[in-house]
Amino acid sequence: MLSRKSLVIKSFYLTFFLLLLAGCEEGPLGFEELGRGELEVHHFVLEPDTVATFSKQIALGEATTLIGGRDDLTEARILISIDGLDSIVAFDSVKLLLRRYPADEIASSDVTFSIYPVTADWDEIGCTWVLADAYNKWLELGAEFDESDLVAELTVADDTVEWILDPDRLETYQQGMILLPENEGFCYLGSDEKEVYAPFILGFDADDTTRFSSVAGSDYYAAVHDATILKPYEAPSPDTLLGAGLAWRVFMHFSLDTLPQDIDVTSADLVVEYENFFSPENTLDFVCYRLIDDYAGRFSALSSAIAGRDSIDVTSDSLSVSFVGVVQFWVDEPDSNFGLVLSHSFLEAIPSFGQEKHVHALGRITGTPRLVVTYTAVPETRFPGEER
Amino acid sequence: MRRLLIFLLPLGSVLLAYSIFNTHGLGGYTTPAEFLKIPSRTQTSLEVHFTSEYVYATDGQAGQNAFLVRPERFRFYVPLPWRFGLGAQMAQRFNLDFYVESDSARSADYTLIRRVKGRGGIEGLRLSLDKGFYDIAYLGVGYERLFGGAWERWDSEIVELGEMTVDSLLYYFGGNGVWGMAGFKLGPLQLRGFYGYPLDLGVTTEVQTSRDTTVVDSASYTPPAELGGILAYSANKLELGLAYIQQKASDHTSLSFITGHLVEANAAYKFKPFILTGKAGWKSWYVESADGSPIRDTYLGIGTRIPIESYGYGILELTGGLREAGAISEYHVELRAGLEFRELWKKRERMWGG
Repeated sequence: MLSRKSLVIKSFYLTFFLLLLAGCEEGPLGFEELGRGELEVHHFVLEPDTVATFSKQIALGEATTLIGGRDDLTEARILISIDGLDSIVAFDSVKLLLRRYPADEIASSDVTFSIYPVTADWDEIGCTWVLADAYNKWLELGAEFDESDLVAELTVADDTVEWILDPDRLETYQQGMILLPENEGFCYLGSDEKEVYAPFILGFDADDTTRFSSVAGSDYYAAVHDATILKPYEAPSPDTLLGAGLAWRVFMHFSLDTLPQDIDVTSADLVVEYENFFSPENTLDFVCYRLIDDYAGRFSALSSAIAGRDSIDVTSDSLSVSFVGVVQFWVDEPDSNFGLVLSHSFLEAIPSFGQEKHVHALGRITGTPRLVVTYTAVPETRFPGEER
Repeated sequence: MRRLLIFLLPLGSVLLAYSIFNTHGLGGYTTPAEFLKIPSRTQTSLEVHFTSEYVYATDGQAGQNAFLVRPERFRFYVPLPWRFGLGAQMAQRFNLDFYVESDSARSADYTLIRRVKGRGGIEGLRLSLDKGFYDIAYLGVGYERLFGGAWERWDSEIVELGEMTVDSLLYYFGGNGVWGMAGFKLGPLQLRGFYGYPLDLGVTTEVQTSRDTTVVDSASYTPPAELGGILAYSANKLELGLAYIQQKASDHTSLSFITGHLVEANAAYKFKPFILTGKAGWKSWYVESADGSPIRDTYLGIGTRIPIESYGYGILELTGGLREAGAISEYHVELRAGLEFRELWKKRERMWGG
């Protein structure tokens, strides 16, 4: 039996904790009583004050795939050099074996290459297509070659391609060779970075076959170095080009001076009319990056984070990239608005190809890009002071 | 353990009150205990009160329900030698709990809905010292420290875009006040007069978005002064009281204070073993509604004080009323629960006195 005192105290606590569970139902009422906070959505369509196209080259020297071939706009060449190989004289014949990705794995074209000696030293990292001073300049240590000295012709039509090496060309092999495609289409070969499909060398004598080792100091030492390098190409039109992988990007800068500073950006869509020239896939992925410093052509520094992206069908004629956060950042920090860069996505669904497969996706921007912004005003303080 | 709980309960100050009219001025005004009733000056006492509140607000078309709980008051008083008395009180003086929501507003092909929720208030820590003269008269002075904070969350929804932005306004309060009172006891009659003089209340505003927090403003306001009196009658079984408070505003800033009034009549009847209580009040706020209408609140309450042996009293009180201004009416029902400890402290004095 509870005493009266206990009953009162327990009832007090019980009531208190039950009421803690209380909630409320909310409905549209009373906003006018606030007397502040506008009920308006502001809508702006901005056009860029600057648009520029530039080409950004991407390192391929240590890529796992050697792309060789060409199409209307692109020519992918292959560089190969063979270090060592001194013991070539001990064999009746020596072959370099290049291996193509199996046809049932990756569709390739049959491509014939003409092979010429390069005339300058190069290494895999050094020929990464970081251009010297302009889009259409070769890197000095890259792929200058002697077009008058045809070393060999090679056709990639099977999963394994054999090339009989000439002992008298040992110096050429060590200096390096460039494989220029002679017909349209692309083939995909394993590089020395790709363990399964890496090139290798076999020596043959009367009744024996010896595989050369890439380990320095071996009895039969030969190390193959290789890289893919693109031939620069001329823009197909004066349009604003939008490429992927190695090629074109579009820089845009929108002045946001007309927007007030204390706002909440509720949407910011970059709307671009687009026409695709060609693409290896039916879907096109686009990404947007913001610049973190002044625009400097292909040397422009981009934020590592993707600011926005869109994915469209290859037949679509426009794309829209949303990047509310970036525009809000620019409004809050106007000095950070260095503009943005739009390109095809670097990303690729097939890991073994990395970024290379999109080398030759290209389109153009038609019309003027637009930045469509909506915003609401930040609420006013209830207790305004003198400083506001 | 119970005593520990009693001390911890007032710390649950995140609990809430609610009124759309709390959007005005410094918020909803709460009267200090010593300006409404005349408690005993001869007994040590500790009071803890909580209020649960149901409010239905309507403008005749839309409605809102709110059912919330808040600590109302913590008060301590101890008589000192030579007829001195020392008091301490903690209560929320201005309440900023509200919820408002706009109708769908259309502009530039977009529909915007804004929902604003306010929470918090201005707390008051009051310390007082009084001195009695021949059991007939007394004088008291007090100091009040105003502090606290409030938070407004603004949710803005653009229907067509499916986008929602959230902004918060944070307010921090700090201020001081002093008051004085004088009272007389003539047989069953008591009379008290008081005047509370507020000093400047500083308010700092921060805007908090998902991006950053920025101090955007600092302002200073003078809350309304409080002056008034209490007339009380006490007989064997019956106690009657009548209190009047005027909130006199001198601040001419954007908060647009006006003179507020409160009249409250109290009655208590000893109906053994309980004490039955009743009250009736009318309040005219110190601010007006958005359309310039006076905000008025009329209420009635009944309750009981239940003696608890060796402790004091348990208090239950039910109050209902109507608060209205312009088109908005708020029907409110409060259930107040509290404990008053008196005998407990006597017992402790005996234990320590050994």
